[in-house]
Amino acid sequence: MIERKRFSVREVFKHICILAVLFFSFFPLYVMFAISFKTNAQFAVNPLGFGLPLHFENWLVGWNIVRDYIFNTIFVAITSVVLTFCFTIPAAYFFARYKAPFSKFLWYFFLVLMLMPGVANLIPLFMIIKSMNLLNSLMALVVLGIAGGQVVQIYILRNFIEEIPKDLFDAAEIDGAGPIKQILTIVLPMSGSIVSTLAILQFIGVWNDFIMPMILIRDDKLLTLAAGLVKLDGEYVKLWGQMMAGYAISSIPLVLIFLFTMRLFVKGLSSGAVKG
Amino acid sequence: MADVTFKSVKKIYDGAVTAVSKFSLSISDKEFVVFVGPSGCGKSTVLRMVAGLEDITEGDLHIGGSRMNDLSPKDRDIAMVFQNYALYPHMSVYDNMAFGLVLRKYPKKEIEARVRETAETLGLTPYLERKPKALSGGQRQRVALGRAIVRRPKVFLFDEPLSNLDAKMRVQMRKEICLLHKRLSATMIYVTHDQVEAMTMGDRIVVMENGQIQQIGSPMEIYRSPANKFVAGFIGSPPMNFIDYVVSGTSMKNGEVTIPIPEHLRSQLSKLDGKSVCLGIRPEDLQMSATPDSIELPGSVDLCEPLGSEVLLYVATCGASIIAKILNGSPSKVGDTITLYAPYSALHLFDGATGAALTRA
Repeated sequence: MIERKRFSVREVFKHICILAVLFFSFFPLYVMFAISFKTNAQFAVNPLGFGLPLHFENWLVGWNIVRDYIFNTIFVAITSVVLTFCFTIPAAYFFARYKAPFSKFLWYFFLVLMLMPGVANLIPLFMIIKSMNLLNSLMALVVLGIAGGQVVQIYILRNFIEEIPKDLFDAAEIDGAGPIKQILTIVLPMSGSIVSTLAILQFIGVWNDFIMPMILIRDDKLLTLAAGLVKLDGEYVKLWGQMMAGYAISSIPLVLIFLFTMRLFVKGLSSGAVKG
Repeated sequence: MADVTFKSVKKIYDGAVTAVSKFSLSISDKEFVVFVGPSGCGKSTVLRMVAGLEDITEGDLHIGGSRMNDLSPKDRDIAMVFQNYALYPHMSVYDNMAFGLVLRKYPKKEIEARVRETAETLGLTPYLERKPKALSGGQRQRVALGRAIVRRPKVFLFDEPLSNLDAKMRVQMRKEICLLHKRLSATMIYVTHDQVEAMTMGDRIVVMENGQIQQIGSPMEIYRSPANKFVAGFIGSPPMNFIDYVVSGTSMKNGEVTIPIPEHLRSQLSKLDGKSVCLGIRPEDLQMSATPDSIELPGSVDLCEPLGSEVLLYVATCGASIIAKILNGSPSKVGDTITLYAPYSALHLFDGATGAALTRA
């Protein structure tokens, strides 16, 4: 006899909560997409629902506006992510594997940096970037992206590398692998999920960064998305359909990245939770 | 030539903890030496110093006549097999075995030839494409062996390689490693805490305790003539029985029990008159029937452990609990009062204060 699953009050309540969370997450997205196909007149009549006819030309205008911002952001995000790992993986490997004099002190000093509020750094960072002659250039954002990602990544990667059995490194050392080979042949292949997760998190961070581009970039054409989208918001006339189309287009790459890397991302978040 | 020589090697951790001290040993080319001792005795530390994974605080290590103290592990021409296999989990069996050769930039054809030949010898050919997680414990340890063999190093180092295997697989792998030693004719240093492995595998055994060598010798030398009470108790299963006595003239006393000191030992033990000595008797030397020139140990049976071909009797006697290994079974039951006999020729005597062997009686 097949036992029928009965819904308890608790189950129903749980599902209502889940649906509520989903609703609040997806409703703004729905509104953005719905408005992106409307003229201002359609928006005024029916702000939330879909209105016919659909104005696909909004997307074309939106694309033309955000195209440069997207390319700028992709350049900054990818360059920062790749270069960040060039520094963080060797650093994490060092902290995990070597007990050099003062390495403990260095580590705690390093951790203190995590407690620094980002806003407190704004003026010093501006001065540093200015002294490096990088103001109003994408490289300024790349340099800050690299620097900003260091502490948390090294902290997480160091803990992950410490979890890798020491004998593996010993075996590799006897086999003839120096530190760089060990990083390339053991650490990287074994930390794929955690590295991917950190890469995605940093990519999202750079993608959504608003303050730094606003402060450091003066040329409109060099703006990244978060700062550039503000420019869509006209001072006197707001073209809601085109604005939302621009927003929608700029959110698509992140959604795509997350969809394709979701499994890795979840695996990375839970890695280290239980002994593998 | 791959002889290994330790000259007064010392290892101190963090400037405070002495893990190994006064370690001097000469291992001949093609010799199979087993380091045995309880956990924390420093045997693995010595092995790791040979591998170059630990620095040597003091003293010299030579392999093949060259000083190795300052060479990195890859330049020492050694290979090591670890207790937990230490296989690279993301690489196939083939890649695991080829890794060391690839890093040493051997030609691709030679790598393939060596890996396939070794895999054939170890019965790993069907598993070459598999990842370590798809192998059993025994197969994994064979891959670890294969990874060491393909390099054809001067010295093989084994760090308790069979500890993670079940009893049956351990016996099989023990045999395979012994055969491998014969076939490769290489110098091998094997670390274990299992005295059965030590007795069955090594040409020589180095017994260690508290970072120091207690005795070096062939398995039978160590079994027959242990240098001190520690070695006597560590080698042999079940371990040697110890009973404390006080030397009193021409006899030794333990409460009511008096044992006459054999003629040939009297002059030596006369110096210890009034002092305590420890009598050691191996369980297999105890018998239930009297023989000429033997001591008598009356006692009561606390526990019987029948093991098939033999029975272990735990007997309370002379204020100690001793074990007797009786072949072909015993009619005794728990609570029985029995007398055990041990021939004088099988007795070991140790200094009560220092534990050093006085003589074999």
